[in-house]
Amino acid sequence: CTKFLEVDPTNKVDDSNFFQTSTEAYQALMGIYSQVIFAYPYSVALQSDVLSDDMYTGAANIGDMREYQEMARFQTTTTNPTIANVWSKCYTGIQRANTLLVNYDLIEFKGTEEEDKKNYKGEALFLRGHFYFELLRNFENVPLILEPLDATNWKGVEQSDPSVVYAQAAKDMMDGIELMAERISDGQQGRLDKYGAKAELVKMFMFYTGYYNQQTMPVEGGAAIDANQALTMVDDIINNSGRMLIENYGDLYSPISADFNQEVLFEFPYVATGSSDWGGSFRGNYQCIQSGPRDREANPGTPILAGGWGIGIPSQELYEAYMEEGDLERMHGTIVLAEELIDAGGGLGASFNHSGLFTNKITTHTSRFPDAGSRELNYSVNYHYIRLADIMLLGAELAVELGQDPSKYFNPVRERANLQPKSGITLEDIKKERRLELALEGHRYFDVLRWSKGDINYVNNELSVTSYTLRGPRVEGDEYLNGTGQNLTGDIGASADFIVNFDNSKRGFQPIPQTERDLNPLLKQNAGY
Amino acid sequence: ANVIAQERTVSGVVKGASDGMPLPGVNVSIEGTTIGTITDFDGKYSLNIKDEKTSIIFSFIGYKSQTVVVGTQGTINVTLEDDLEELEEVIVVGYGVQKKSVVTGAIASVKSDEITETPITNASQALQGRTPGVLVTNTSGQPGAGIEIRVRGTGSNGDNSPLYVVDGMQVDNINFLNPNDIESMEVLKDAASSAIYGARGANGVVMITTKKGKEGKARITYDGYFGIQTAARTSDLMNAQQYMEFHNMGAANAGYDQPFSAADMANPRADTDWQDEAFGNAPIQSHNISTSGGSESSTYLMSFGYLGQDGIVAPDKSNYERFNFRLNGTHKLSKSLTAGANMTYVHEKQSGIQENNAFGGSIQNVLLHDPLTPVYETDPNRIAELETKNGAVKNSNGQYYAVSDQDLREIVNPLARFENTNDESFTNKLIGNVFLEYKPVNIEGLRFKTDFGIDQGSWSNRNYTPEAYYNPNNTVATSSVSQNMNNYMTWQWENVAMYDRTFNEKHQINGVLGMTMRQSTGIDMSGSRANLQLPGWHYGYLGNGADDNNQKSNGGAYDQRLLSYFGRVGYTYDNKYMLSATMRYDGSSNFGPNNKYGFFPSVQAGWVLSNEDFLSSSETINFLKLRAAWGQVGNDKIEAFGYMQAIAPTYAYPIGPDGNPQPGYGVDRAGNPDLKWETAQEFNFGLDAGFFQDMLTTNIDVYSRQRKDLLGYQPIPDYVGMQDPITNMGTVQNRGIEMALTYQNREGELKYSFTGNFAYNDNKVLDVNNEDGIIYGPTMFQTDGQLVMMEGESLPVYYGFKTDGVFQSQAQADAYNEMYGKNAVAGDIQYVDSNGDGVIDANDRTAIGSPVHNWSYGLTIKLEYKGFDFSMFWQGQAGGEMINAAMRPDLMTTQNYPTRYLDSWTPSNPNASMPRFTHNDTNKNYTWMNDMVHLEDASYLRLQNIQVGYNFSDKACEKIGVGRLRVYASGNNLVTISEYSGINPENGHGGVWSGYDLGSYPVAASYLVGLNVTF
Repeated sequence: CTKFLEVDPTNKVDDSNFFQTSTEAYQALMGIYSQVIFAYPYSVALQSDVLSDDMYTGAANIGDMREYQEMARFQTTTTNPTIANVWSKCYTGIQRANTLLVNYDLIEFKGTEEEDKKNYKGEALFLRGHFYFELLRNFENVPLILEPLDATNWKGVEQSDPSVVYAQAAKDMMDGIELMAERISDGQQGRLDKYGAKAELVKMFMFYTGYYNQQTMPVEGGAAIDANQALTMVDDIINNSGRMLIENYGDLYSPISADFNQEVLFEFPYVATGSSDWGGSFRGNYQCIQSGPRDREANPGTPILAGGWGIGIPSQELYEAYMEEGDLERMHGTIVLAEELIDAGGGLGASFNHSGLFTNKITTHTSRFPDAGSRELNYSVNYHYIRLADIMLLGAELAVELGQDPSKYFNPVRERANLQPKSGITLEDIKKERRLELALEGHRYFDVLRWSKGDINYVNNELSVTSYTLRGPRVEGDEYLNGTGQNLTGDIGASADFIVNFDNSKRGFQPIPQTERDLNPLLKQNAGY
Repeated sequence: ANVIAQERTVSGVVKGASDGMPLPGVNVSIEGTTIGTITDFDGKYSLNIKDEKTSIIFSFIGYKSQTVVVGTQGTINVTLEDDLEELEEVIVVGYGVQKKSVVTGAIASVKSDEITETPITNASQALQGRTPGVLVTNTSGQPGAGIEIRVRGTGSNGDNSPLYVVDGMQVDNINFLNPNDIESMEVLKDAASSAIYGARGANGVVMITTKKGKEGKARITYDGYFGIQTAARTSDLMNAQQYMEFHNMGAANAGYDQPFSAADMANPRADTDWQDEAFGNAPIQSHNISTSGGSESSTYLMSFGYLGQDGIVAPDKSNYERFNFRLNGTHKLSKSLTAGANMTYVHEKQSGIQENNAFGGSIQNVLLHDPLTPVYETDPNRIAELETKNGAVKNSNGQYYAVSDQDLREIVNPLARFENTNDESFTNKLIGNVFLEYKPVNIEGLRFKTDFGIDQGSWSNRNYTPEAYYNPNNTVATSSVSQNMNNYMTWQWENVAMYDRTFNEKHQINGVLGMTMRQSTGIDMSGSRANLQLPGWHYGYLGNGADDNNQKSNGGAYDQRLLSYFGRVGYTYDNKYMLSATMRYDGSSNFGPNNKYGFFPSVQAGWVLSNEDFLSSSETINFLKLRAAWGQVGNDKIEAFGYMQAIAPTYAYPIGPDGNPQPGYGVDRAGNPDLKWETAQEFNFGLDAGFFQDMLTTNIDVYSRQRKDLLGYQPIPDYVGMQDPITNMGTVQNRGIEMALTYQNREGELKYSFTGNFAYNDNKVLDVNNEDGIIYGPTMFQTDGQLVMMEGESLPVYYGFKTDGVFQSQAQADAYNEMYGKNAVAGDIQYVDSNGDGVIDANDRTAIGSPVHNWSYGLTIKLEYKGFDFSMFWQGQAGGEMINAAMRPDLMTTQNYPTRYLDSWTPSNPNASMPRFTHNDTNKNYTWMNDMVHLEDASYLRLQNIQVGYNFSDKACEKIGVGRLRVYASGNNLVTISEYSGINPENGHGGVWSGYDLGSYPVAASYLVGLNVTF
């Protein structure tokens, strides 16, 4: 009779019996990748851009999207659920990587699968490093966990010194790069090759050495990386990755062909299966519906952009930066103007912090209108987390730092935007170029942090908006007025709502989520919270 | 001279006085002899007598014996009166019955006449307000909605519903039962009584016995009612003028432009009362017909029941029908063998609208939609514009539903929402058991019973969403359809030996020994598909979806098993002293190999003082019993394989140029191989008393129940990277007192009874085995604060911000701003620095109130005069709070509000109950859950039923050829007294985490006329 009570589940497997062949290794690897793109309820790009001076949170009012509203004003509460999601997303990815790596030797690969055996492990190692980098740049002081934890042995875990975690992340990335593929085979797009991994290692190097004002980045169990090595990696990426700048800046996001274009090194793939729903299945890019303009029609034929929730409003400061530079190509590639939408038809309303500007990158492009399913969750736009232009401009910075000529890194990016090449390029030139080239792709905030070179006042000066004058309408005319007579082609709202005060005491980092500290009092809260 | 005895035959019919029906099996014997007979199937007897002086005794259990001197009569018809003392009420306990006078546990019993006395749609409603300590909550007014029963408070942060046992078969709920089929319902309230159901008894046990046939002539009864329902209560919402003024004030306080001009105010587009438009009258009807009877060897009962209920909201989209069939029968195979079966089949059809949803629930739409929009569009320009929209919603007459000018997103014209709601579900269930009982002829009092039962059924649901244009921000681009189905089968095999015998008239001994095996399995499948080529509800099936790329399917299976051994021994001396003990040993497949089994003992004792010499002659006290019990019961209601650290599917990852979703796998939940049974331990002390020959009776129970090793998801830090493990994680205590008091007069022309009951339950979390002593429950959309389970508080408790009034002046606000670094202005809430750290932030969240009612009460008044009867039934609860949570922070500048918000602070209204209303709520008056804005007293008192009936006299019945005839008129749910601003203060959505009213279907008030006939 005792046998009667022994039943096995039909939808999962006891973890001790799971890992057998390359199939399980691949499935476990997919489980890790799925955390990279986990896009609900926040997304990597939107979350970092609302922190920057390129974007306001927008939405309906100050009570709407309050998680972003308070982050954008550097008043993040320790109970902010969005920031807690960043934390848990990364650590879930780390747990999955740890579980695969710990069991890796149990897996039997066939003789023909030697490449897969190397690559899968390399990708798992790299992705663990990737998650640690995301944690480090958001939270700075995080626990370093390299083995799977269980229901009880999590007690006693403490935060590690950031340099220790950076060193481990660098080691993971470098170990991974050794094992990763030179090229991802056709049909496997979405996995990363070693150049994508190198690109993020360069970004991490730049952030670490910049923000902490260091010459080198430590590597656990190995020699530290310096600027020369970083620039060598940049050259390697430029010369050997097979990536190149695409011809037309405006094609980076909107058309279907923008996904997996030849410029992208590290891509977050999203898909419009129509099957993503609020029941917990998220495969689309949730940032699109958030970014779409408020009170606008949402039909397959709604011109330019279909309606959305008006979250992530480009700032007038960003628009003015383009206009000062005469950079219309990238302005239009980055921003949709309210007047364009109104002229094209389809209606428009104002959001909170309305500027009459909308993102033209990760948004509700007509060409991407989901033909089925819950529209909010079924936009397929991929997020190009790292593309070659980003790495080339980092190369330019490294070249300046090393006293070399940065023009070969810098000018191709500028020329692609139909701007005149520059000579005598300074760091200031590169900073401006990065802002215009990479705006609204989730880089600006971390760039500003790393350019501080240890001086937090730099960040404060860049990001704070201590006084604000409402920008008047760009275009006059009755057709641009909303129901209450406000012109939608300029700022709408109270100027006080546009004030931002960067809080030096927080040093640009987010709070350790309150529940983590409630559950484990050994975790220390970050300064300023 | 001696009269020579001449033998002759006397014959006649014996009937029962209460129903006038012939009584079979009545003992008819000649006094002083052993000569006699019994009445036959039609109550007839014949007996040979020799002497006129002979006395015949008619005796039958449950009736007063009658002695008749024969005299010269040849025909003697007798009507036997019920013997209330002899026919002592019998209570069903686990695996047996007991005389009420010697019951030692806390068991509440409701009999068939009480169950059908008030017209109810769901058997659970029969318990509402009837017995102290048993809380019955209508989760919703939607037809066919479930009902939540809690016995003695909330004990767990998981499942709190009791175990239901229908004719021995354990089932999950009793929504399927026809109330007219029920003979009795017994609630085993204390742990000692339910310990015989050990593993699954921690939430109490509700035992249901269905009606059986009786020996005798076939009788046919009809029970039916018809009525009209209407919304019992509505929410008091702002009208157009109030709405515009309120939002203008909100904008002014934020420094924003006024949304409504003087011209708008003078000439609003409409002033729509959406509740008026959405809530209407709807019919309800119930018809039940049953026939029963039996011979000496066989009895049977067959019944058919129909219930049809239309909803008071969107009746063509929200309705319920239930068809019940039942066949119960027993047959004596031999002197020692009896076989029997109870079978019921039910078919349910249900359609519903979406409710209790903060993202476009239909009722939320009704509550939040601005009143400025008409129901139908009449403006030709607007109609012309709507005609250009794909999916603009029209009614069947081709009228367009108007679209609001406000930015309301998910809040759309409620009637348009109803128009596009298409949903139906079908349930089929067959529940039944067959048994064989063996009574060895040579061992008195011993019985063996083997019983095999099944609960088998299927459920299917279909839902269709057409293309729609609700407003610019809310459109449905393509039609879609979903279908879901499941099929389940539970079997239960039970073998029990029972012994019950009285020795020397004073020593009564009983024992039970048994085992149960039980297996529940099920499979489910679901699919959805978009873009229907043949549009419309009629074609709303998966096969008509055109889009192959986005079709979605899902399916799975489950298998849960239980193996149990149990026993009971009891001893009663002279109906004075009672002692019994039970034990149960249960194994469940829900637990891992380390802790599969749990052991659950109990003991009970009782003392009937009124049978002692010192009380037996008392004129005042005719009955007095003291009871004491201790027991442990268990709970295994956790998700299957919760103990296992398992690798399960993760979100898929798109691979390849077209993003082909690849299933990923990862550890989903931290395992816990040592997971074990949750245990409830309870002491119960009780007193049952009757005074003045039971004119006044009372039952009082005092109990203390501790729920230990509570099964729940134990929060662990997110850096572990897995979902929270299921652990044994806390202790919840429920202590309380229950009291029922009945004063009745059953003699004379005017019979009456008053029954009052009340219960006080103190619910407290004693221990949360967690680092911070808190388990977080659900929050509200974009609001800080939530329901939590925390030590020292009731389960659950609102965890939010305490307030200390509002700032009456800017100077006051500035002082606070200075001290706490805030930017409040006059009229804002002054939050309390609860933790005293000099900062006002999330760490100041604390317990601010609880949705748990401490008090519950009921009052029933019954009067009978000649053929008329009248009854009135009140019930209520008090002490708990509720949040009217349909409002949305992101729509605060456009949504409508309850009029309660009109009393918001302004310089000229300094004593307002609410803070200032502003469209720029930087002080978070509305988004920090607090005791001023959010919590409302949810106490209520409800007139549940009022009824007048008339029983036709026997003569009248005879004339029209029926055995019994009663007609009645009944009003249900007529009055609810409550301060609460939402529609219904009683809201059971969400199980243990009930506490947010997100817009619930109104409960119906109904006016019914009914008829009971017996042939």
